[in-house]
Amino acid sequence: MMQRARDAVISMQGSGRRRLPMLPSAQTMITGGVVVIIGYLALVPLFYLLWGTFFDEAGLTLGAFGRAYSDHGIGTLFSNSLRFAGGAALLSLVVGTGLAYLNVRTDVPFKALFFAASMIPLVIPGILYTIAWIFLASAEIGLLNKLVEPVIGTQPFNVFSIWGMIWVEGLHLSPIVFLLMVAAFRSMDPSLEESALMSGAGKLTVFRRITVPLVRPAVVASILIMVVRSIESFEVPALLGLQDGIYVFTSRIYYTLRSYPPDFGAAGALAITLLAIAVVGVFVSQRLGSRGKSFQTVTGKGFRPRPMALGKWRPVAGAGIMLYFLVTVIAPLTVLLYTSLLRFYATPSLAVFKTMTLNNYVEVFHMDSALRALRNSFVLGIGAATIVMLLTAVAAWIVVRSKVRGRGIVDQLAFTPLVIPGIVLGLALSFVYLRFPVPVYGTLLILLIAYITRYMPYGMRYASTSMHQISSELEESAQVCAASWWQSFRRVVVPLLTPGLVGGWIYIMVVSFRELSSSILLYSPGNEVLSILIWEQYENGQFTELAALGVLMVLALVVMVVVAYRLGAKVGLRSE
Amino acid sequence: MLMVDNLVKTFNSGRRGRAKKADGAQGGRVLAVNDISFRVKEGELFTLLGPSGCGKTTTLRSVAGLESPDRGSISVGGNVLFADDQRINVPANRRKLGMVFQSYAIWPHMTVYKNVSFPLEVASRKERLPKQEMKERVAQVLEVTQLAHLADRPATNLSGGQQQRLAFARALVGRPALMLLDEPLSNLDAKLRESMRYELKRLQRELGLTSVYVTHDQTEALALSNTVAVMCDGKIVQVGRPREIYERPNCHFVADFIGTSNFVSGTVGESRHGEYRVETQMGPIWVSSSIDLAVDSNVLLSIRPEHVSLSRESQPDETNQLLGKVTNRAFLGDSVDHILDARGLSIRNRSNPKISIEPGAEIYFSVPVDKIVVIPLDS
Repeated sequence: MMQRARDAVISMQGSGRRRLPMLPSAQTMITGGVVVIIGYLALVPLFYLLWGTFFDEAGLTLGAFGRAYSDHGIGTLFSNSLRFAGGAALLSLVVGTGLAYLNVRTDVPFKALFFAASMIPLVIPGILYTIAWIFLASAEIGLLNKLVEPVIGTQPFNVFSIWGMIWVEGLHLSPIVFLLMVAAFRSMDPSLEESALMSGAGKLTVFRRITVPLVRPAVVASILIMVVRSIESFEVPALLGLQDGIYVFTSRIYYTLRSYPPDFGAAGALAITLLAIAVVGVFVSQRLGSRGKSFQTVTGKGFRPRPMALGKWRPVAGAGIMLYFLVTVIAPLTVLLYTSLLRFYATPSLAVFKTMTLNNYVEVFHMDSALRALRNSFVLGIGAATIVMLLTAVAAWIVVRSKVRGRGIVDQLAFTPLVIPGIVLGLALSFVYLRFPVPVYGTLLILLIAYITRYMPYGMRYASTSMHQISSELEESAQVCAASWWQSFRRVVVPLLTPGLVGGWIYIMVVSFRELSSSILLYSPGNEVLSILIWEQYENGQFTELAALGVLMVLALVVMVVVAYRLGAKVGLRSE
Repeated sequence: MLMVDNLVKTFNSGRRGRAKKADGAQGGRVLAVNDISFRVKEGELFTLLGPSGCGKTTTLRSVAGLESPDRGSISVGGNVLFADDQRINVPANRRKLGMVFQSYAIWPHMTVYKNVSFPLEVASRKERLPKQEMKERVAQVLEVTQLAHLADRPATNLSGGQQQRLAFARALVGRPALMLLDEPLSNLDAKLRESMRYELKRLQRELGLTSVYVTHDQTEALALSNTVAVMCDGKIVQVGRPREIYERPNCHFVADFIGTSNFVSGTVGESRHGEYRVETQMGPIWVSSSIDLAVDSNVLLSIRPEHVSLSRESQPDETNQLLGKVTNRAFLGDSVDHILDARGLSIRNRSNPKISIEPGAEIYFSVPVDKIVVIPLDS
């Protein structure tokens, strides 16, 4: 019976080949096409980045590096980048790890707040978060300064400083560390600590000699990831640092391109250095991550950790949590909402409250640029999410299911953009398409290409995780029933992948919706997206309209995330 | 040695967090351990046996100090470790007990040697041994558990059996008054489990350890223990020697949980010299009972398959001889099982593999009077 079925399949394939002697099969065309597209997206920008940096009219040259690094500010650039990235990573690590420990291992109150706070980086884009902190803590208009000035006599906060940059970036990253460390604490067998207790060790000894060494790999990996993320961050250094000339790599690249005449070569030289730092960071953190796995004792049992009683420290911890929630969530959102209701930006007073109005919202809906930006953001989000998931569904099949030699390379290619900082990708793409014969530069298409490239790794992760969960027998049985590759892919594989594909689709939709660091180098007038419009309005000092637009943007993101949860998609902040 | 009295422990029902809000108002608490008392004698291996969720692990963890009971008292060798009325609750790290966890809980960031020396290193300053003595003690324990040659290995590079022995060595090194073992063999494969069972028994006997052992595996419990306490729904339903538990279960649950059994319900009829005639669906059966049975009361008879004997011919002087028909037969290697139909009741027999009767045959079967366990149903 089996033998006959197999014979049937073989003869089917045989006859198929006879019938179409010259044309390659649908399988070859589709998988081949996907590989070519992924390879193009991953490699071409990098190639042009190198080419544009190292070649000019005269041929191979290191002139660009010379121009970029001969500037006497370059020492400060390095030290600023290091201080900014290190400081933000450290702040996020201390806050995030502390919160994760309290949440997983103790009976701290308000546990529901933790996860609400952890959604912040997803629903408040970096640009809005930074602007909110400008409203809160800048020297001239900062609300916090106005609040404490009568008490202590001076204005203590200045967000336009390296400390301000570290503070805002560190807070924005802390929920990501929180989620990473929650996973680390949860995957730890609590009996490892209990057995130390049974050995006679006190709570402090257990913490110092068991808990800390066990989570150390996770801590080191997260600090590296946070350093890379902050060094790649654009919004915070650009908005807070450029004003007083505190440059880091990303803001320097932007500055180099915005000065006249723009020096693409020098920007490329900076971008290549930044890329190299990111590659090293990601590589080392992944190595540490895999080493950390050997620490996990496999028991195949769900852990039910007994939360440690905090006793008299419980109210203190509770107050700390409330403070954290207030500072990271309530304060920035409130100040945005407050500003969006004003006619002119002003510090709160009775007179100001009387003039509050919804005018800004009405205006936003009558502003051509706002409606166009909203439409562009939606079109790009939907387009990028759809294309990425289609590409990665096929790519995941190639990597996980096919027996093609070199399929691992497809995986590597799809993950390559993960290490490319957004602003570097933007620069690389402008290198490519400024020279391109077909007009892509200056259209929405270049933004679409940028988003697809940036978020391909995320799509790949969603798709290949779900692909691993589908037994290959399901597909094989379709083939035994004489279905062609395309039929079994479309009617068996894709439907089974759907939950993962939908999860990835929404995630990419959400992150595209708030993309700024690639778009800033690629947009052209008329093709603004929401985050760009907010950027422009900030530069023009239109704070109140900006705040209204920002509130609407946050609402839209909240709706998307809620819908994602309702659909049961695993949308979370994925670590890089 | 160990005395546990009237121990009660409740948990919040459902999951923590949101579930707590949903049904917390109704006070949704589950009795995990419901008023348990038992004694463990010096040098004895005492087993808490029961299905999952019966409260055996919670009881053990309460003794360890890893759970705080709601009520009751626990004392070891005369030292009170927990007593709700005296507000005593010695923390786990001051109880000086040894414990082997189900997952072994081997610290992956330490070597084998470090895992074992840890309990000695963290002892309070005045109780800490001198360096040299510490070394000797660890070496000695590693010797006993046959791990001496692995001392410098990272603890993650051990096989399952070695990890199990390491967990045992670590619990042993502080010379605890009482050893607590939480399903220590359940993560091993079947063959290894059997050999480790003998290994554990040897160590326990040689070192004269007093141990409390938790398991859901009845074979393990019967093979290892001096005393078995069978638990069900947070209560101890029977305590006794392994043989007693197996041969004289005192209730349906114990008879059903330990080994396999045929259950036949019936009504008590006439009595003669302490033996009772029980009317059942398959005919009258004579049983002996240590407790008095009232005429017309309902009882449940538990008959082990190996006590059902078969013969092709009627044996005239045999009591409890009944007629049945073989409906099924299964060869199990060291024995043969027959399923008999006796007037609509299905009875399982287990025989020597020499006896094998084809399905469909009429057969006589009998059960010795003293091998039938009577469980009164009305009371």
